[in-house]
Amino acid sequence: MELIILLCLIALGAGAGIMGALFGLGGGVIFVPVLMLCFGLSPAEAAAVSLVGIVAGSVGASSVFVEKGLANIRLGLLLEVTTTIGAIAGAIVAGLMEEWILSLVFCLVMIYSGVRMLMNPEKVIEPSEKGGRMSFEYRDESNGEVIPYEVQNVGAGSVACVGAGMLSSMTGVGGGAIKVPVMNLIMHVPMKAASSTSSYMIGITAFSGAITYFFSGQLDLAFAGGVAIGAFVGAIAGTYLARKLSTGHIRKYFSVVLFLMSALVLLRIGGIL
Amino acid sequence: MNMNRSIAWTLRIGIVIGLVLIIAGELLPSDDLLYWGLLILIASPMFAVIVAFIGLVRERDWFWAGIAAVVMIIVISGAVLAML
Repeated sequence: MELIILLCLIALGAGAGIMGALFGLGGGVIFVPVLMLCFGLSPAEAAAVSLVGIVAGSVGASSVFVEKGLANIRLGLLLEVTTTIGAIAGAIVAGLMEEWILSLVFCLVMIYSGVRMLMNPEKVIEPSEKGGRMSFEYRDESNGEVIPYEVQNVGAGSVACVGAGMLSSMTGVGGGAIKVPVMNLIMHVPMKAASSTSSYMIGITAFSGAITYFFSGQLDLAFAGGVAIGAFVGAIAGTYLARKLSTGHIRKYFSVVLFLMSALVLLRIGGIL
Repeated sequence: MNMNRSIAWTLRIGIVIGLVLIIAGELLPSDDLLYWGLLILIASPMFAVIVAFIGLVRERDWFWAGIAAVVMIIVISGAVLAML
């Protein structure tokens, strides 16, 4: 592979890594079209390379977030179960509904979440009693405060994640864009914990897809390697930014990314991408 | 070592070994090195879930260990199906 192409892949991976670490988003909506349009990959090859980038970014970011206590392992595993149930259900009923209708629903949910995040300040509930199953805490390095929180509406949040899993398996758009707002707006998980937890989860979700492409021989090793190197570098930069930025800023930037992703999905529905 | 540190170290070891092999594979170039580097990197989240399950069992946190067991079954069966 030519050096210039390798460098471009590393740069692309770095962008994906930053998004994954900062917002808990895989960014497949953005990176798959870029891999297809700029590097001439087929849709399956682009999806495979993008999944490897997501795993690399998630592993890099989680190695920091988990140790710092920002990523909530327990909550992440719980929502991973509900999202997977949704993904399986989605795969079973896929074909019963037009994909463009589902993509449109996805867009509307993203736009609604983005608007709510911009308009409403974050609401975090302090644990009522010590040691509850849903009581957690993390230390915010931007101001040195320890933030205790109790996860609320676990049932509603889990059901919403089933919906997120269904939508993402039926549309091919990753679930991070819905899971982070579900955690933050419905379950009242602080934004930094929500995005870090999602960043940990997307690695587990992407693993199943990536390993399937890997063993089926559809993964271009050199392309995937370049993106993985970049994603790791981007993830480390993203974890640094995530720890230093204030919650308010991360929420604001997150909503902008949601609007951008909605626009891209709308372009895809319109057949332009 | 507490559970969070064990998971973080599992991920760290996976990505460091994976990336060293990937970088060597890109520079030499060698498809074998790229193959093993990518495999180790991709498999890291699965190993981290197994470590989380072991950590929760050791903490006797049965509710969450049960959740981790379900995720572990999902990821391992996904890997096995992919290999078949």
